[in-house]
Amino acid sequence: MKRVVFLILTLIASIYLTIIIANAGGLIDQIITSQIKYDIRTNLARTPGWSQLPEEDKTRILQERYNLTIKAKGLDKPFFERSIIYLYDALTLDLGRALFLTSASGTKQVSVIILERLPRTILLFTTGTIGYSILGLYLGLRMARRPGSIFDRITTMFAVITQAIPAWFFGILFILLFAYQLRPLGISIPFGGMVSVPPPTDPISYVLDVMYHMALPLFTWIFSIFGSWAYITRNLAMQSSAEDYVMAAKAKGLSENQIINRYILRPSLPPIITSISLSLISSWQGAIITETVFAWPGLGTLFYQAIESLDPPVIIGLTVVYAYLLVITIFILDLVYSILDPRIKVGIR
Amino acid sequence: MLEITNLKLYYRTQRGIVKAVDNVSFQLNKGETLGIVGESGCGKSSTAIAIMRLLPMNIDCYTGNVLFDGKNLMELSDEEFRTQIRWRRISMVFQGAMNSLNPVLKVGYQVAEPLILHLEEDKKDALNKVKDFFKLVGLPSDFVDRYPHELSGGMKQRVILAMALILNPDLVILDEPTSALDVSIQAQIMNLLKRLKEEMKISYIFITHDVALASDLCDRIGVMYAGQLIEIGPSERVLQNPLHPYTQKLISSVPLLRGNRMPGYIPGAPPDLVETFKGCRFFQRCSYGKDECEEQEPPFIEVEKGHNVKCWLYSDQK
Amino acid sequence: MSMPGGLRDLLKAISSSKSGIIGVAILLIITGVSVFAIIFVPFDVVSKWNNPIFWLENPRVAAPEWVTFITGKNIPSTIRIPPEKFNKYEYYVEASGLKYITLDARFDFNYDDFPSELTVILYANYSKSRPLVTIKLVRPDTLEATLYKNVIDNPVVYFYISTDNAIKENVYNFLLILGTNTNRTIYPEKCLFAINNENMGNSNLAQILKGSYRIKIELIATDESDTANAEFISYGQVQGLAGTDYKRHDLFIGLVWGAPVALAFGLSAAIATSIIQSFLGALSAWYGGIVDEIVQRVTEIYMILPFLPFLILISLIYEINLWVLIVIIIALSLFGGVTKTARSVTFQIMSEQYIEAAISYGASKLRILFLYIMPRLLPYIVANIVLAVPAYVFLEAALSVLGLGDPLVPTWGKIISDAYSSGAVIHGWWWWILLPALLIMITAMAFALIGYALDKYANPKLRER
Repeated sequence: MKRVVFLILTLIASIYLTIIIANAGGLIDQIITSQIKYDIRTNLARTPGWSQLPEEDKTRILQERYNLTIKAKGLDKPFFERSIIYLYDALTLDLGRALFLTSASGTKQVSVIILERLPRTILLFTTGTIGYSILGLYLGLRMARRPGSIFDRITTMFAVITQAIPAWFFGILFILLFAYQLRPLGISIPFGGMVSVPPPTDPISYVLDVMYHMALPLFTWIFSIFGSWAYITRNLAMQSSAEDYVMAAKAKGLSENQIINRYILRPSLPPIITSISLSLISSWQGAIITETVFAWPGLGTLFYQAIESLDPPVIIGLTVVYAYLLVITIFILDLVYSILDPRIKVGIR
Repeated sequence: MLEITNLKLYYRTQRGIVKAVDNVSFQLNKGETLGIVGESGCGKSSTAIAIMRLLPMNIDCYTGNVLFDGKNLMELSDEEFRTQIRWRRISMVFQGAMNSLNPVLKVGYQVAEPLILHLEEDKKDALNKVKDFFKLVGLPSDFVDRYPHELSGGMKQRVILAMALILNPDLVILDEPTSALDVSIQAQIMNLLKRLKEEMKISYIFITHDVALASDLCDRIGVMYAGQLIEIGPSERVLQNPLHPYTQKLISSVPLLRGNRMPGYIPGAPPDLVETFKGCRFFQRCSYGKDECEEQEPPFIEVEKGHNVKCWLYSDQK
Repeated sequence: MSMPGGLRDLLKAISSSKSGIIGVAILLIITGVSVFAIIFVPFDVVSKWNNPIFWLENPRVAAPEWVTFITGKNIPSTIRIPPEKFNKYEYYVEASGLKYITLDARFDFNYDDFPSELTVILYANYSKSRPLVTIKLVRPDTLEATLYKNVIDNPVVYFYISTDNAIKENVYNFLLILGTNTNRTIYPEKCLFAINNENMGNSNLAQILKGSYRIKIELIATDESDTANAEFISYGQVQGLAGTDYKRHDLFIGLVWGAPVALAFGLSAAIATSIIQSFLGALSAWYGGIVDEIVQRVTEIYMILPFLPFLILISLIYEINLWVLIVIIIALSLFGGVTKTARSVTFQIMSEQYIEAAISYGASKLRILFLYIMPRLLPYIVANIVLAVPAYVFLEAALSVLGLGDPLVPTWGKIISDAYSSGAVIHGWWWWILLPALLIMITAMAFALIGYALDKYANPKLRER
């Protein structure tokens, strides 16, 4: 319970920090005020008789309405109070309107734009995470079984090297290699986007098409991360293997597989999870670049587009969403950890 | 029931080959308790490991005959050994029970594991049996749902015992089962062992460095030194009439509760098991060393009925 | 002062492991390149890199010169005829008041492939009216192509033969006269150098005409004092040790210069964050109590902050250069994973006897922290620095790929991102991506290898607290 409170505090801190950073140049103020003006203008334009009014009247009414709204929303107050209002907006994901970008459904609302892309990022990210964690765990255990063997040494060296190089970098190299160099060979692996243009209409082909496009980014992701998982698993599994209860299990007559799963892997999982939590956070952030490199239409590419079109509301919104994502990830990890390690009590019992 | 001849277990280490168990032979009858005493590093635990075939990766030599009810265990394949012998016929209580339990599994399940595994019982029946055994070792039956970190040292030890007994094995090897516990708990555990011995008619091999403790529980005592068994015989005889100079020193080093005798000590240190030996291994520290002790390894000589010693001092009694 | 024992152990660990030695070797090479860069390459790289005039003599997206060895084909390099090499004939006709200037230069073209671009630069001095300029190319097969015939507007004129529409029109007419099939889209640098057959106008099928060419520039000026000079560049398809990019930068200079920048950037960020985080961790453990609580909570908050989005936000809103970037990165990384581990290690150190001794003889807490505890943490700090450098080098590259980061300084990351966004992958300009990528990778690997040799210092085996 204490942990949950703490995580919420972290979330608030992150978002508040975002607001302060963004508004140090008055940016959020600008965004909000221009949105208010826009809202007022659209509302007035709908009222009958508006277009007949002379210019000065229009301007005067606009200004009056604007001042009223500012006062009503409390936006004429000093910065500190304004920032709390912004904080509340951000927490409830009321993120304003984008300057240039639009969502597929046509609205300019930042939250919609972001939420549209979110599932795609989650699709790629979670599939990749599951992929490399299973592969890493499996290989790490095999390595721990025969430490010092050729398999162990090669995989360790592989892990050491891939650990230093981020996934997106491999992405660029793989695109160069697979998508380009293999084309003369007739092998065409798509190296961008999520679906072909135009996308296939029936659901099965659509799913296959997505999977086809997901192949290279997924491969890149798994390739660059499974090594470090394997290495961490290997080390922790080796530590576990030296524990007495493993010997006791062997004496009890358990088979090797049972020992590996129940007596080596299970006790190692909690520390593996702790080691992994930090890298998961950087994984989320690396995903930004990886998606950009592969033009996968998720949050990462959205970042890139927002940067290109200089659309601050979207960037700010994305930062807020990312703060949420990271906090949620840590929360899930904590839950998993508490399930795996009976020494930690889940606070809500 | 158990007849061990010429058991050898050598490890390969960075410094050389460690002859942890070097030509050890002894017998154990059904229902008997054998204590194996000696200093740390003399090979007692390695003997247990050798019997249980819990070999580490750096084994250099593992030979000998282990006849169990007439069948030579060394001839069994690993798989056969695992399914037929391990835990069903021979089980073990390890040194440092604290760590013998898997921290992420409930203790009840861990004790039930052999039942589920070897006897293919289903989980519910197995757990019920575990509850019975818990009562037997003096634990409340609802402890089956506890995790190891929720138990005290003494309780864990009882769990380990229950676990060792769950399949009604013929032989239980106990390696220093009480050295990590404080004296009062130690007494309780010893009493428990005695009770179980009576009720269940199990044979024990009780490994310890504490001669007094061994004599309390065991029918016979064997003394190991530098990887070899140097004396073996009925407990009272070994205690009252220790034959080997080492055993004598060992006994005299036990402080008496009453009396003014100063405990003896043994000068020097046990030899490094990496060395190759010529002659008797105790020669360096022995007060009675003769020439032949330095040259040739002494044979096993029966001095009294059932009381053997490996020492040149008794060669005329062959 | 002799090196603290801990550091000596580190060096021993590195030198006794294969990976450590390889890593250090690579690092030394890269440091050597950096030193070379700083001494020999024009140090005002930043402004020169972004100044197009400096690179005019290079072809665009040319492959490295050593490609010729690999393919076996004789790929054209850039041929530049400077003004001095032109033969100049001037004569003034009093009667008409006209001065005739002819600039003539000969060059041999024996390559197996076409030039990538052709440019003539004319420097004319005229006092009264502008001269009439005719530019002709005389081919080995004696055919003459008139590329330009008109009055010039400025004293210095760049004739982009490959792209200028008027010139292309003239070349098109040249082809028509010769009777070859051609469509409207022509590439002058190809057809002007192609064998006169039916494929002359076809950029895919045209064959190279080897031999001796002449470029003739004739001016008709109106004053006796008028004069002119010319320069001719036939851009090759290969250039330099590392090729060129779309802006004609000699990538070798960019790559070489990237080395010290990468090292400086990575090292300064890594050193600063490692030291600060370790210090805070030690402080937290040493002072304990409320300080410990606060530092721990703040660390956990820091670790969950969306670091990269913050960085993006800041880079977008406020223009930053490379060094401001480092400051921001450090500010966002004051607390982190290193803080936690340094704290645990400090607890272990604290339980040692000599700390108690120091307290008992009255040393102040601060003094003990700096004199006893921090030096003991030194191996851990150094090991961490080594492991952190690649991360920061890649961070800078990542920002470049996103389009943020310093737009002026040529770093490896910037070169890669330029390449990627210019479609180097699609066009097959592999050297533009591959060479800087290899350099970054090798640098990262060097640090990773050294870090692996220091593994036990970087991940101290800690007892569960």
